[in-house]
This record gives sequence, C-alpha cells and structure tokens, in this order.
Amino acid sequence: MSNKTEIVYVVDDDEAVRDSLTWLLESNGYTVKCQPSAERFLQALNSEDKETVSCLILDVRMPGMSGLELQERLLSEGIPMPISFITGHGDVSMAVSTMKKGAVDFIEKPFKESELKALVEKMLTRARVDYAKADTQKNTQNLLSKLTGREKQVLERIVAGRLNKQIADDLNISIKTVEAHRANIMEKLSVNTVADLLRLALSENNT
Amino acid sequence: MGLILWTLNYQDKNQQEYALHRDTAYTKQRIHNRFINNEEALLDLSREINEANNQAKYSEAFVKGATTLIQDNPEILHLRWIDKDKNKIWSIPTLVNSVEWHERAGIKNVLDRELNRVYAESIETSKSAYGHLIQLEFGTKDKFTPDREYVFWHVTPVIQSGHIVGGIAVLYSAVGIIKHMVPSDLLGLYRYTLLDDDGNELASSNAKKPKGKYVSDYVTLDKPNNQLNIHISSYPPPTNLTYKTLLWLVIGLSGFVLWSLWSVWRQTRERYAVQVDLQNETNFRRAMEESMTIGMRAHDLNGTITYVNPAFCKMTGWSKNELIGKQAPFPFWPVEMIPQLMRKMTTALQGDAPSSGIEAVLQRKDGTRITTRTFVSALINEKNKQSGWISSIVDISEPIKARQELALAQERFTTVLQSLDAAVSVISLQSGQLLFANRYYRDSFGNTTQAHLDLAGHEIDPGDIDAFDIDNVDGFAGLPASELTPGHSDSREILLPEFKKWFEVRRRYISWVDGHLAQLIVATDITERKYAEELARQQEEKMQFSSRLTTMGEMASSLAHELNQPLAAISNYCTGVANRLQSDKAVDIEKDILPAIEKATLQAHRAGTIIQRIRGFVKRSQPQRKIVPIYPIIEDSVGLAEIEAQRYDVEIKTTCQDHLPTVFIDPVLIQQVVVNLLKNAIDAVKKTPSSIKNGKSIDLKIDIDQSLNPQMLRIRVIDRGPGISEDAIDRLYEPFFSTKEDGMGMGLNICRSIIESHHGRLWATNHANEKDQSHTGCTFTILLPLDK
Repeated sequence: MSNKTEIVYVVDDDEAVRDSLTWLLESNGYTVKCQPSAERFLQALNSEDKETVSCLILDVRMPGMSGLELQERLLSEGIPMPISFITGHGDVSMAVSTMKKGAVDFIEKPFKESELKALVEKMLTRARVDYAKADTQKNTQNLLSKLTGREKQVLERIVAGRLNKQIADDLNISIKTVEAHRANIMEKLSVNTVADLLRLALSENNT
Repeated sequence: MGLILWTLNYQDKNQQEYALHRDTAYTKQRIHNRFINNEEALLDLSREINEANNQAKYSEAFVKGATTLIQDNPEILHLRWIDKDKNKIWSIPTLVNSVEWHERAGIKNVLDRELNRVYAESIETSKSAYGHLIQLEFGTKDKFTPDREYVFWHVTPVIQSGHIVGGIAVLYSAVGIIKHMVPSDLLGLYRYTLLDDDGNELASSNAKKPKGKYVSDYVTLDKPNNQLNIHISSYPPPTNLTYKTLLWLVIGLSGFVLWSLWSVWRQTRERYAVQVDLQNETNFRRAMEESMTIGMRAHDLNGTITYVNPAFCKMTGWSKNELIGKQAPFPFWPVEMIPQLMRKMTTALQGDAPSSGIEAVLQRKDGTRITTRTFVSALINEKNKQSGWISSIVDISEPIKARQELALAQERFTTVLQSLDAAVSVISLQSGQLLFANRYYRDSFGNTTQAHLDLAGHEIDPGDIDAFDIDNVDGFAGLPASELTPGHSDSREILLPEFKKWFEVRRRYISWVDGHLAQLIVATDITERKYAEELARQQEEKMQFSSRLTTMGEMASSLAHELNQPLAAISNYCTGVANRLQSDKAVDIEKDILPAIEKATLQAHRAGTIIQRIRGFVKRSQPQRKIVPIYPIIEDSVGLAEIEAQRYDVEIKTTCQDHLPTVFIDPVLIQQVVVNLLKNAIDAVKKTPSSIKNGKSIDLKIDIDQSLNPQMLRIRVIDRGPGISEDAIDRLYEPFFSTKEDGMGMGLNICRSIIESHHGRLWATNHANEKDQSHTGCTFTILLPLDK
C-alpha cells in the first residue's frame, strides 16, 4: 500500500448493496466512495483529484445511464480508471463486451470476500502501475522538451541506429558536431549509456 | 161539455146582467123621483110660508107639511127655515132637553158655512140648490153616526113678490139615499154601495161583499149635482141543483170513461208482455231444439214417427218430411239389422227399454253408418194420458273413436316413458308409496322408494310419511293440491354413492290423478358429463397454473436479480462484521456491529417478502373464492410486476380510489390477471427510449365504474407503448395467438376466461393519437362485480 490515499468507487442503484459493499470494503481498510447512479458518479468525479489512485466497482444494470455506457464515457474521456462490473447473474455476452473494452474483471453477487479483495487489489495495483507509468512518461516528456531542434533530429537518428558518420552526412554537419550534440543529449536526458538513452526515447514513442 | 156549460153560464150571466141593468135604471129613476118629490114638497112649504101673512108665525100647514116631510123621508135629517140673514127661524126635529147634534161645536161651523154657501147659490139662481157632500167628524160614535157622517144641504129659496126672503134648508144623509130611497125589495136582491166622485166608498146596503162571481153596475145620480154614484152588485145566484147534478153526472161519466180506457190499455199491455214472453219462450225452445246435438224423435202409440228435430235429421241425413209418418222399418235402419232393430223397438214400445239406453247402428242417407244410443220415454199429453213415445238419440261414434285414440295415445305415452333414458318416478306424499316408476327406474333401482328419496335429497323422511299430513305442515294448509303444483320444477345434481353415479334430478310437486299431492322426479344420468366437466375444470386449472408458471419463468431473470440484491447485501454485512471482529482494532459493538446486523435483518425480510410473493403466485391451490378487499391483491401484483419493471427502468404508478368495497373473487387468479396485464404493458413500453417523457410509465388505476348499473369495480392498466395493431386487436384472446416472438399465446386467453368466470369483463382499447393517427398506447380494462 502506498502512502497516498487510494479510493475505491462503488456505483450501484441498490442502496442495500451499495451500503453493504462499502461496509465490507471499509472493514478491509479501503477508502470507499459510493454513488447511486452513473450520472452522480460523473458529477462527483469532476471535483476529485485526477492524480489519486482509484478504481471503480460498477453495477451493470442501473436506471438511467447503465454501467456499460459509463465505461464507454470514461474511455472516451481518457480517464484510465480500472473498472470491475457487478453482474447479477452470469450474463456472458455482457461480460465479454465489458472485458473487451478493458474491464479488469466482473464479479457476481453475492460476493466472496476473498474474490472481492483480490479484485480490488488487482485493480489498485494496475491503477498504481498506470499512475507510475504516466508519471515516468511525464518526466521523459519534460526531458525531451529541453532538447533543441537539431538535438531532436540527432536523437531520432541515434534511435534509428545510424552511426555518427551517417548522421553527419544526413544533416550535413561534421562528425564532431554530431558528437557534441550527442554529449549534450546524454547530459540533458541525464543518461550515461546509449542503452538507457534508447529505452527512454522508445518509451516516449510508445505512448 | 165545456161549451155547453159555458153557454149555460153565459146565458145565465146575460140574464143576470140584463136584470141588473133594468133594476139599476129603475133604482136611479126611483131616487130621482124621490128627490123631485121632496123638492116639490119643499116648494109647497115655501109657498105655505108666503101665504102666511105674519111671517113670524108658523103656519099650521107649514108645520104640518114639514113634519110630514121629515117623517116620510127619513133620509132628511134636519129641516131648517132661515130668514134672509140666514138666521134660523124654525127647525125640525127639535129636542127639548138635549143639544141638537148639529148644534155641537165643530159640526155646527161646518154645517153653517156650507149652508151659507148653498143659500148664496140658491139666491143667485133663485132656485133650489144642492150643496157639496160634507163629511162630519164626530168625536164619539152612536147609532146615528153612520147616517150623519156624510151629509149635504138642499136649500129651497122662499120668494115673496120676487124677493128672496129666506129659505128652507134640508140636510140629507147620503147614507139615507141607499137606506130609504132604494126600493126595499131591490135591497134584498143587490148590494148597493154609495161612492163619492173619487170612488171612495161612503156607505153600503150590506157590509158583506158578494163572493165568487157576481155582476155589477155603476150609475151616477144626477141629484144632488152628479156628485154621488151608486154601485150595484148582484149576489151570486142561488145554487142550481139540476145544473149541478148534471155537471157532476157529466164529470162522473167522463171519469168512468177514462178509467175504462186506462183499464183497456193496461190489459193490452199485459197481453202484449205475455205475448212477447211467449214468443221468446217459443224462440228459445226452437233455438234449443235446433242447437241441440241430441236427436229427438217422437212416435205415436202405433210406432209412427210424429216428430223429428233438426239434430236427428242432420244425424241421419234424412229430411223431416221424409221421416214424419213413416212406420218401422224406418229408412235409416240398415237392411241387415232390421229384424234385430224391430225386436228392440218392440221391447222399447212396451216400456221395457233399459235405462242405460239402446245402442244401435243407424244408416245415413248417404250410406255411412253411425253408432247411436237411444233413450226412450213415454210421452204424456195434457190430459195426463200417454200419447206416444219420445226417444232421444245420441251419436256416440265420436266418443268411441276418441276412446280408441286415447287408448292409443296412452300406449304411445307409456312406451315413451318406459323407453326414456331417465328414471321417472312419482311418490305419494301422503302414503309414501311409489305411485309410478318407469322401466329405467325399476331396472336401475328396483321397485322401492329408497332411490326416489335419495334422489329427492331426503327432504321427505320415510319415517314421517305415515304421519305426513300436509294440513299440518306449512302455510299452504287447506289449499287444494292444485294450488301447490303450478310453478317451478327445480333441478339439482345428486351423487348416489352406492351406484357411483351422478344424476341431474328435476323435482316438482304434482296433483296426482286422485287429487292428492305427489312428488315427481325425473333423474337423468349425467355421470359422464360430470366427469367431463370435472376434467375440463381440472385442465382449466392446470392451464391457469401453468400460465402463472410461464409468467414467473418469463420474469425469472428479474426475480433472481431482485432476490440476489438482499442476499448480496446480507453477505456483505456479515463478512464486514466478521472482518471487524477479527481485526486487531478495538470494535464498538453499538456503533460498528449492530447497525450492520440490523440492516442485514432488513434485507433478509426483503428477500423473504419476494419469495413469499412468488410462492403465493405460483402455489397450486384449489380455486377458492372469498370476500376480500381488492387492495392487497393489487399490492402483491404490483410488487411482482415492479421487479420486472425495474429491470427495464419502467415505472408503475398505482392510483387507487379510497374506500373500495370488497369483492367476491379468487385472489390468486385475479392477481394472475393483473400481473399478466402489467407484464404485457412492461413489454410494450420497455423499448421506449428514456428520453420520451413518461414514455416508460404505466398507470394502474382502480376505481368504481359508476356509469354502470349495477356498479362494478374497474381496474385499468394504461401504457404508452405502440398500441395494438388493428388486425391483432380482434384476435387478442384467441388461444395460441401472440404478438411476441417467444409468446405462448395463452396469457390473455386465460385472463379473459378467469375474468368471465368471475362474471366480469376484460377488453383492450387503443389510444389514438389525433396528430399522426398512430397509437399512443393501450388500455386494458377489467370490470368485476361488487360483492353485494
């Protein structure tokens, strides 16, 4: 567990289920915030800190906006919150559809505590990873943004596997200049080896 | 007669009048003469005075003459000799010891004043003059008063050598004219009345006025001075005996003649009435004779026909003329039967005919034969002697035919009854005996009353039948049996366990042929029908049950979800509690544990309620109608349907009128119908997008339809779905008709049969949208009778 608060969101229209789930999760030491409908959840989310590690336990069947619709909405808004669905009874087609769209898992009522706990943990872990990844990416981008235009061109070619000589030819500059750029890049990105440089550059490209 | 009487009377009257006129004239003449005589006597007296030289002395002759005048003429009351200064010289009569009546105060003035006037008049004319009639007022009356009441003066002047030196005045009594001047024989005949100029009656010869018819005459006296009138009236003539007798005779005769006429008229009338009666009687007898269907035939003592009536002629076809005078053998006797009939006739004519009549065959003129019965009796004439025989002949062909037909009908009837596929029995209510039983009854139950009593439902106890006396039983006591029998026959179904058969029994009370009350039973074996009905009923129940199961099945997913909610909640609460108790942290039971357990309990109740509803809905119970309030049934139905509704985000709005009366229904079946209709409504609206306002709401309205008589409970399920298509709306209740892909098509069919078995109605109506002519939903209406 990290030091930062991690939030488990619960959205279910049935008050008893919502309340009891909260009660159960709280007994396991989680911070739980619950909402009776998808609409209310979206409203509440606006005022939350986007940086918080969080996950969502969502009822599929609800009046108004359904669970599936909410999932789509979150996807489209780029909110990378791990979602698990509660289904009343094994609705296979619905489960498949949710999983395809990136749901972590689905859980059937009544819940087994161990399963629930495992699920929440799994989701939070993913959330944490996602969060860390996003953090790293953000750092890399910050470093890369310090490079000049010529330096970026040189970096592209280094990543493409061109030799210094070839780079000098491509850019019509001398080898010495290429080497100087290369040293600057290594310094600005605070890496020591070419392997590190490549990893950082590639991680940025992947996202 | 009247004319004769009138003529007689008229003549009589004429004669009377004639005599009266004659006597009147005579009287008038006599009075006139008397006055003239008196005037002359007075003239003589005045001459006597002249002749006496000494005027102061009375001449002997004068005194004598005056005295004679007064005595002879009682009408002259007073004579006075006056000088030219109107002083009295001498007067007569004179009474020595009393004051003369004409000297009395009051009277004297009147008399003297008049005397002066008359004297002046006579001086003027130098002739004697009569004065005016004067009425004198006497204070007291005496026997002379009437004579003296009306008087007048007569003055004769005394003339000496051409000078008037005085006068002789005489005072006449007006009454005296009648009393003394009229001849006394006439006074007896007539009534004389003295009248003054104005017609006032002064005096009369007889106080009594003539009565009845009288004749009268009227004459004016020229002396004195035309101032007096005499009215003469005759007394009615004395009764004329002959005349009267004649009159009465005539009247009597007339009366007699009238009476005779009246008697004759009365007798005529009586005779006429008798004649009419006789005519009526004759007509009546003739009509009777002609309308009689019994033939009559009379024979004289020799056997010759003397009379036949029209009925007999009609019966035999022979006319009257052809029969009268005939002797045996008669033309209407069949030829081959003549000897036999002759014998019978001879017997009959000897008076030995059987009282039951003689049966014989007669041949009609057209050759057909009829059977008759003849009754013969003696004909007795007015002298009480037998004059012949009269026989009445009755045509008994028809009764014989009718009897035969009746027997045939009876046979047919018995055959039908005997071969009837139902038990028919009649039991006497008095003796309890089986009066009639057809073959089916005897074959099925034997010849005992037991089965009848069983079928009749043991309303008559065989033990009581001996003592059964309807007069003691009920309010119908004393009524004849026929009063009880008309009217209804009741029908009921009876199971006879020993035969294991069902019978439909119709019972009614009838008046048996002997007039006593009896009970008729017609029992038809309906065992098979009963079984078939039972089977149908069971199948119906099964169907309703499976329909309910189907409904439940269709809602299973929703129900499972609904049930899962509380179960999940309970599980969560329990695990949460366990976690808390296991954790190292201090646990506040009051704050942390108890609320969770309470909430878990609530959820367990919630689950229990759902299960109870489901069980109530699908339980397989005997159909059972009860008097129940409608609301709990609606509540349960909505509770079930709402689970399904929530799944599709559909809202059910229930509006229930307050104070609804109870209904006599089977709660499970009605709940089934309501759930079914609600489910259909949910199906109709579940695909409606949520964006349409109220598009996903269903109205359930329960109220009383007051426009109906009697009022009924109305349950309406109103949706805003697409409605029902035109071709489907007529087929909704057909079995196996469904608009749903996976529908069985039994739901509405069963719903309708359930409602109809409750004597209610179920129908659907689309709501038309006026704007685009599309349907905007549909209402299903249930009407149920109220429990009264």
